[in-house]
Amino acid sequence: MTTTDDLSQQLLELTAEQLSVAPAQLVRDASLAEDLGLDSLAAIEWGMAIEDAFGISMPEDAMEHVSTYGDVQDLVQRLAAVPTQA
Amino acid sequence: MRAPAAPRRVVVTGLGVVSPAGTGLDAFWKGLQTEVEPARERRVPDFDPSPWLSGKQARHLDRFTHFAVAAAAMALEDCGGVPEVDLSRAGVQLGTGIGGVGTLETQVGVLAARGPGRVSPFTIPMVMPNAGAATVSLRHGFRGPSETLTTACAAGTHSVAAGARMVADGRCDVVLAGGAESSMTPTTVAAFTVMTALSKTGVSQPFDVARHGFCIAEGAAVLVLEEREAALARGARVYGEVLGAASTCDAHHITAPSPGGVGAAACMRLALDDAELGAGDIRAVNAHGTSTPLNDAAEATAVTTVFGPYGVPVSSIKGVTGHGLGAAGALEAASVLLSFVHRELPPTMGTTEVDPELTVDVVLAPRAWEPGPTISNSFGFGGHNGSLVLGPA
Repeated sequence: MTTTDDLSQQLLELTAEQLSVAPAQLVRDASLAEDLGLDSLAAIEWGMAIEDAFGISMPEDAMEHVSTYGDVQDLVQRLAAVPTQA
Repeated sequence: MRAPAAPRRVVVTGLGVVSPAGTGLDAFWKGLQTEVEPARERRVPDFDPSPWLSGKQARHLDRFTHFAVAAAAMALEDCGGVPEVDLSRAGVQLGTGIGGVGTLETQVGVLAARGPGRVSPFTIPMVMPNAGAATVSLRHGFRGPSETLTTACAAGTHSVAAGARMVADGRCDVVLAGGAESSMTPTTVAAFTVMTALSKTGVSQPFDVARHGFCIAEGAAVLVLEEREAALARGARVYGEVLGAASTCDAHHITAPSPGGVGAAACMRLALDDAELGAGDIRAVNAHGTSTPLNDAAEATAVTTVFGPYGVPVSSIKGVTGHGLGAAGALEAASVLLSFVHRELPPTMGTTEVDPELTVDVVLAPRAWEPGPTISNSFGFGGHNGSLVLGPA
């Protein structure tokens, strides 16, 4: 069963590769624009990769309402609706 | 609109080349004298964009833009770094024949396989023909004009001419000018093949009696163009001067040249007028010389019309480089400037027996010469003609 830890790890690996950043940079309060260098096009591409990896469908404007890496973790968690670790 | 009071002289102070014949000036010049294996498609071998672009940047740019960025960076390095000018007076003129068609073809596959929601958001900025010019401007902070001419296989020559005009007119103090192309995809190769434009044997043999088509290729070349007085004042090394240029259209047929090469001849004569030179002042022709029956016949006739039978030595480097489409004219301008430095005309490789119908002096082996004004021609589908007159420093 996929756990939140599995999901976090998978999101971290995917994001590090997609955004060409070091995994250590991917902390909850990392600013997507300022710390991770994300622009609007890269955000869309990243969103597609997340949808593919987790088999989820994000609302079209989802990536417009996130500003930190933690926001994205929460969003993916919610949409994937995985059970929290016991 | 006002004409400039006194046109300024334009010199070339840096060169950058990415080509199947060699990347970097030494490799390129050596490659122009080296026999190559037959290949209908000529790619830049082992090109690695990592010296100029991060993995993420490279992923979001088409291969033709990788070439543009690399050639521009090498040209700036060659001239000693970005000249100290007001960057709002620094421009880019970077032509291409087709642009990022490889990316488009990949995304057509994505669309078919996975649907519209998975087409890359980077598709348009990667495919657009001006992506090369835009990326080069962005990279170096050049805030003057940044433009892309797409006149098929004449784009490289037209872009060097347009860039030189921006300096001559006083709009810019430095311009990165040239062409970039990487458009060999399954579809474009099939399309050139069915129109019988490509060589069946993979031999590019300009002006040869057995010529029967061109070898499609890729690459880029960028020239650093500067106002002459400023370049000399800062002690820049000067490869040569852009003496004149012209552009005409055959208005005859969408792909075939006008009979007797009348459009090409008109273009060369206008370029000579622009340079304030007579036909007798020209010491060499760098031919478009694609190795197609029609182009080479029309061009040889045009050269004969302007310079007389066997009046001036004619080289085509496409025997080695293949036909780099929108990059070709820029690569050829670079070869002319290097022929000034090396005091040698490059050979027309691949050609063994010049078509006896063609009354031109085809340079078949490297030929020592006293550098002098040289005309470099490019002709594109659409009937676009471009001629550039370059002179030694």
